[in-house]
Amino acid sequence: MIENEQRPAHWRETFALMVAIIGALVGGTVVLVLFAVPLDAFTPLGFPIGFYALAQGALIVCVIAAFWFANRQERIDRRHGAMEDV
Amino acid sequence: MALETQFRPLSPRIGTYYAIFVSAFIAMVLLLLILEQLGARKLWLSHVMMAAPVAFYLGVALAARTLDIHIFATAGRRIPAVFGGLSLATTAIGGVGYFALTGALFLIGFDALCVGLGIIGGLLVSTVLFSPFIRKSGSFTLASFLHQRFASTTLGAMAALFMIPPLILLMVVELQLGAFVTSLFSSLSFEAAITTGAVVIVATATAGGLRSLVWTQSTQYIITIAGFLTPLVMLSVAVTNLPLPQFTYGELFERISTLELATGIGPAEPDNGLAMPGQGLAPSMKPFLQAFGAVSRFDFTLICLCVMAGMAALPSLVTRASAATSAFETRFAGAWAGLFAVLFLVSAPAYAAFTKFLTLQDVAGSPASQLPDWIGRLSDAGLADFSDKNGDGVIGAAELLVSRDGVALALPIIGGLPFIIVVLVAVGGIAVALAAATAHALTLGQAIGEDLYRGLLHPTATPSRRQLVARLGCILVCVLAASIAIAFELDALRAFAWALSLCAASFFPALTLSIWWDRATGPAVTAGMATGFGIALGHIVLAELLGQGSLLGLSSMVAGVPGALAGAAVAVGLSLMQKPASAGARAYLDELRDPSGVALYDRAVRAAAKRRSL
Repeated sequence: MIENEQRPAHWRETFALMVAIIGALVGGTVVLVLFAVPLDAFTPLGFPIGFYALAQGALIVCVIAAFWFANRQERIDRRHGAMEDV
Repeated sequence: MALETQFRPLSPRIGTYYAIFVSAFIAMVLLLLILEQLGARKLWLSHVMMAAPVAFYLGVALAARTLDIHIFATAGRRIPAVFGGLSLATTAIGGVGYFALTGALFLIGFDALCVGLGIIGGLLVSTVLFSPFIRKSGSFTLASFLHQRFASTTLGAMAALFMIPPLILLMVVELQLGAFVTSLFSSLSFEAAITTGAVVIVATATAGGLRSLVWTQSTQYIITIAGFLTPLVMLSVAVTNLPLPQFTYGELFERISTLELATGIGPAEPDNGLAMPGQGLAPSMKPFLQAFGAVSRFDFTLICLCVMAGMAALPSLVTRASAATSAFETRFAGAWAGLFAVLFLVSAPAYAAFTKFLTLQDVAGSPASQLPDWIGRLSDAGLADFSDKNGDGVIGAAELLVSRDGVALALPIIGGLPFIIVVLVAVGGIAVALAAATAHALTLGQAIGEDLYRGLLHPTATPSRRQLVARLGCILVCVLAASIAIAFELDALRAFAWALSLCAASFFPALTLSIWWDRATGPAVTAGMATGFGIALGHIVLAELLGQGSLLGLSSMVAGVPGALAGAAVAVGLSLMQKPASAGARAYLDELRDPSGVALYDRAVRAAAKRRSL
């Protein structure tokens, strides 16, 4: 359990991490859509970059972000005394 | 009593069982391939191929049967993250992703990518914003969570009622997609296939609730991904010499563009509203790679965000957090779900590109009298219609008509793969459609048992009675969904967007505010949820009745965006006008935000049991 005096700090860090991830997700989506056409001019291996980013790149980044988030949030929890007990 | 079973460890041999299952499935497919070469009857082969997996799902579901309400509703809270991820991924993709999204990618290429990104983004948002907290609360349903958070029966019952339209919509399209494919390869009619599907769903959902669901969905994911990737990898080797279609289809683009020019598929401009391809036979509207030709930049972004919010707050996904062993594990289950869904979603554009390339390669420029024989097989099945309608001797862009939901099945046929592989694709699609529909049915059944029956009518109902009502609820919603599926034809992609819009407009703001904002009050969230739902529903109904699918320039497919904004504004505004929450609500919120410790619902049940025994 998290002690009462730890709660505000724990929640502040949790909140900041949430804002960072959701902000990056929404911001990244909008930026990708805005720049998809100019990015399409580059075509390594035949893939136009704008298409590739929306078809694969962004999705793979989302999954990496999810694992990163799960680890990061667990570290925050542990630092403030939340133990994984059943 | 009931809660003791929670600590029974999971069988350590579960991985072995899955390995045996996969081997048996591969052996069956190979055996049927040999029998096909020996000249066995096709109808017989496809019946075996389709019936065997369904029998297996039913076996798994029955093996996981239970009469314990805790296991029925939460699978005993001991599902490892990887299996949780497998089953979440099937719910997120569904038959809509398997058939309709692949078809949309074939028809409009680039412009359909917004849906895939929305699904993955939604899983990420759900993992960050909701699932660890739902797991900590221990609630059986999304509605019960809101009920407990604000101690408001009205809010709980209203949320349960709002779940019904979107989840029924999703069940109907999953049933229709599954039945459409089943009727192609078996002697069952469309109606009989829907009825069969509904029976399988009822059996799976009522046997062991969430436990049956998680274990059958994990097997269904394996069959789905096998069905989708097998033809793709085989044809990738044939065309590009490499078995990694997701990374090699780039080299097809130049050839696709040349072929498109030869056929006369020219760049398109997004006209009024967004032109997502509908059901039925349609020509390709734009070149594969052209960006924002059918869907404008603005609509692309809105669909993406709307699917994200709707997927994140989809009750069938949110409530599944309760199956994980802890709030920590829930986050990893979400991450695994993203990984498994991505494996499918990055393959879907490759699938569409290979289908496009093989189609155009055989058709473009060749005289209409010398067309390959796969065209006859496709049109016999109603999946495509390539005929020289204007009589100029060649097949032009407007004469290449393809059925959106049939594109997935078209690839192995065009590529000349064995019949069993074609059926394998169908079996994969049926598996994922069944998986998603079962999840929705169980979620609705639970909401009927917990929030409408216990919450509204009988607060003191015994666990066995609540479970019975939940099971009856599953049967009821399956009968309802099957009747609608037989009576009305729904466009899968539109219905999917409407359902997610309704969830995005009602549950997304309500859940976000109830977890992340201390000042949110029960009545304000209730009003906000009702406003959001009402606006989204009104937008969809008015747009479909009055305009050609759009209202005030906004398509009905993104109705969730205005709904969510209005709902959030109402909830925030009203909360600020009211007094801050009581000390009790504050304490509950503090507990909720602490990921460690026993689920709050379980703790309350244990405390009550202790009081009784004293």
